[in-house]
Amino acid sequence: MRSLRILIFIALFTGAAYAAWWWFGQRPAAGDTVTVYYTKLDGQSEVPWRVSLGSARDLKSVAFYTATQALAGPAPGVDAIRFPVGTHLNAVDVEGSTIHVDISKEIDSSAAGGFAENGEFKSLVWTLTALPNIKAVRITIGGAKVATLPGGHFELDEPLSRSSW
Amino acid sequence: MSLMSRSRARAGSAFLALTLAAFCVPAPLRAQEASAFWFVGTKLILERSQAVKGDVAAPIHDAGFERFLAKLGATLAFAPGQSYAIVTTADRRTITLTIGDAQIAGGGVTTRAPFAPYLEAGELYVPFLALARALYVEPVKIGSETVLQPQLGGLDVRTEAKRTTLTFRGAIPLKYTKISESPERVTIAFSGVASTLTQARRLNGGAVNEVDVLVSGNPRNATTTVTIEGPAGVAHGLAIAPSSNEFAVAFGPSGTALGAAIPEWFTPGITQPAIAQTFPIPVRTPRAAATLAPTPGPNAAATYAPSEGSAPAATATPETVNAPVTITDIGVDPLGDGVSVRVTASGPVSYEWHRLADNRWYIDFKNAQLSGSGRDERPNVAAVDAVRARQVATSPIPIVRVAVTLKGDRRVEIVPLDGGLSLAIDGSAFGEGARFGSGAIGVPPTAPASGFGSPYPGETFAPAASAYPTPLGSSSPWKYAVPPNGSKLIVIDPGHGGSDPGSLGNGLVEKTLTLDIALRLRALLVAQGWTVKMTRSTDVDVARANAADAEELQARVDVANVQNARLFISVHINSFPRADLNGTMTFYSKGIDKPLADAVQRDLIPLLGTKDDGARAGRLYVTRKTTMPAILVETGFISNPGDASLMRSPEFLQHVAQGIANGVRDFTRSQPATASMAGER
Repeated sequence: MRSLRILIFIALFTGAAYAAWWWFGQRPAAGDTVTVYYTKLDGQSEVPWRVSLGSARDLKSVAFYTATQALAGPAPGVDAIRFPVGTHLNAVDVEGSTIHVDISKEIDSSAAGGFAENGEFKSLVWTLTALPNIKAVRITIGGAKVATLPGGHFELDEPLSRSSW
Repeated sequence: MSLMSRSRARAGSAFLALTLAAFCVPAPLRAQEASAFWFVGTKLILERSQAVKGDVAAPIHDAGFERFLAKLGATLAFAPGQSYAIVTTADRRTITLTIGDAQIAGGGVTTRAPFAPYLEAGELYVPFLALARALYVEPVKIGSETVLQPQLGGLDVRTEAKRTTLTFRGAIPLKYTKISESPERVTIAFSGVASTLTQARRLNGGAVNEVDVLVSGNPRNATTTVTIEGPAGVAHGLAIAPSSNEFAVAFGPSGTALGAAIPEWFTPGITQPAIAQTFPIPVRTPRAAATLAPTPGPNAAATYAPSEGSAPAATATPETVNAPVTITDIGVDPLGDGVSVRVTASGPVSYEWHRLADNRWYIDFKNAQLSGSGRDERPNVAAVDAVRARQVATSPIPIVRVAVTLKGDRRVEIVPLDGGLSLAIDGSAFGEGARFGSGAIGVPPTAPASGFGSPYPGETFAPAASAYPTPLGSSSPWKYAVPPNGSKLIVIDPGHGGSDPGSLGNGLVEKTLTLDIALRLRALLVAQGWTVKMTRSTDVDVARANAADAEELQARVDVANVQNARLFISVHINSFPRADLNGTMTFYSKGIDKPLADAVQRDLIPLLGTKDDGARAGRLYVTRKTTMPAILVETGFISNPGDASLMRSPEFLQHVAQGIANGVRDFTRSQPATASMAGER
């Protein structure tokens, strides 16, 4: 009888722990690492980088994490097209198969032209569309819909997908 | 169910409820207190911090915390409902903080903080001292005070072939003084930073033998002195550092390109000539903040009045009249059944030409003076009766006229030359009656006085007298005598302009270069027989000053779409934060754009000699929104010293225009059909 009680206790504890984990939305999404794509300096090819993922697994958090990594660029010393310094993520939201990303206005201060802007957004779009069931990325800047960027005139008025290029 | 079973079930349910409750109930509020630190010469106070397990829990919206990050050039991204807060440093490392997880991941290294980030009253609290260390800021206790000491915290060593590049990364923008230097050895003192780097590091292989690091000064104001020494026969130079928090030096065999000389001293924000010349950083000036004055000289006055209808309004500026240009030479040479009349000018000058119904044709050069007394020629050819050059007006604006009396209905083609133009009359029939048009030699003309300039609103320039001519030197007639979509109009879009200078770099301004190229291109296309409309032909905004980017670009797109132009060509200059990228590329978006992009890129590269970056797909506003074949030519990188040097040369800019014009010619020859125009997008 005592061993039965212990077994029941263990089962309940396990169930409670799982319920709590589920409650906090920690559904498995991408394993311990996630892939972030960076655009090489040729402006045309993407390099996948596996980066460690923390404890969170819900899609929104993973999207937030990977988008931030894409905006930050790869480790120093790695040749890649990078977003302008200071560009950071304001917010991420998941809208069905589309991820909405709001980027800070530092993107407007880019010293780059169309070449760099295409590479920057390729990186972001490839990264986020690598997440499960995500097909497109809708981008706003400073909380507002923006049709184009001032430097290279990259067009942003529609959600972007991998076939946007 | 037995009583025992029920009691077990109740106990289990209660346990489950308690377990869930334990997860759901927020942590009890902690007592808040201010924490004070000494940081880069000032007191840093975290007003709403909490002491937790030997660290300090800082709310991310605390003013002191935000000031701390700003001083380091770091940003923090966090949104309510998300598990991560991510700090991006000035040198582009990301440091990840996870709610409920004490690990701090950054730069490939994971450390453990005394406590995990947590939420309290909707505010995220992070372990401040642990985060500071990840940001290369070391807390140093001095009596009762804690000094947040910026560190020279990172060193990357990259060896490629025989070249070794060392990149030092600091917590703050690096200020340094060169202490001593020989080809194989350099000693640099970084002020205001201590260092956690290994004091002496021997490097095996490559062009550096050893790196020594010595910290001196006091904890509040430390200095780190770095000595780098390579083997005999090496030299060194300042390499490109991606941010002001980094310092990079390259060592390699003497005689190889290793970068600029290291300046005697460097303070962020204070430009030194040695650095400015070697690594000119391109700058994108926000539209609203643009304060650049119009380019002085002839351009300054080149502003046309706003036009009505579909043509976008321009921003008017006062007109000024510059010193007259001299027509230095007029040569008349045989050309088949006709003649070639070569006009040479001492500078940029605008012109207007007229074909009269009685076979007279003349061209007036405005604000120009004829050197000498004029010229009368009666060549003995089948197509031309007489050629005359006269100063037909001296006041208020001097005008030089070259008039040609034709024998019958002959066409006249204007061919731009360096420093002038040529009128080619080869005896072919014209057959389109009286016409007129205008253009310019060289860089754009001074705004014409009344009666000159564009004869149409919105700067439409009629084709040269020889509409759809056989080009000089070509035996085959144009295949686009009837353009495929019925339009004879090409729209040229000089990128940026007015309140938007575009990219700046190496002393060049994008909007000025694009206009220069576009005006040259206009002359060439007009000479080919096209009607050309410019989205702007002076230094103006197309929509309005400081308009939103989309409004400005849509105005440019409208110029082409409303008039159903045959082609749209946007001219831009590329830019990149790194100075080493160079080359010429042509962007396209729609399927119908690609053949044009391919043709232009193919014709540009042999003329320019720049790196061929190819015709490539790009998601760009003007090429996406236009309804006809459209391209955006990125001529070169303004941020690259080599490309910039080329773009300073008028000859190079003329070659750019010629390459694009050749591409247009090749494209229109290969696309004679009408069917494709309304199809693929």
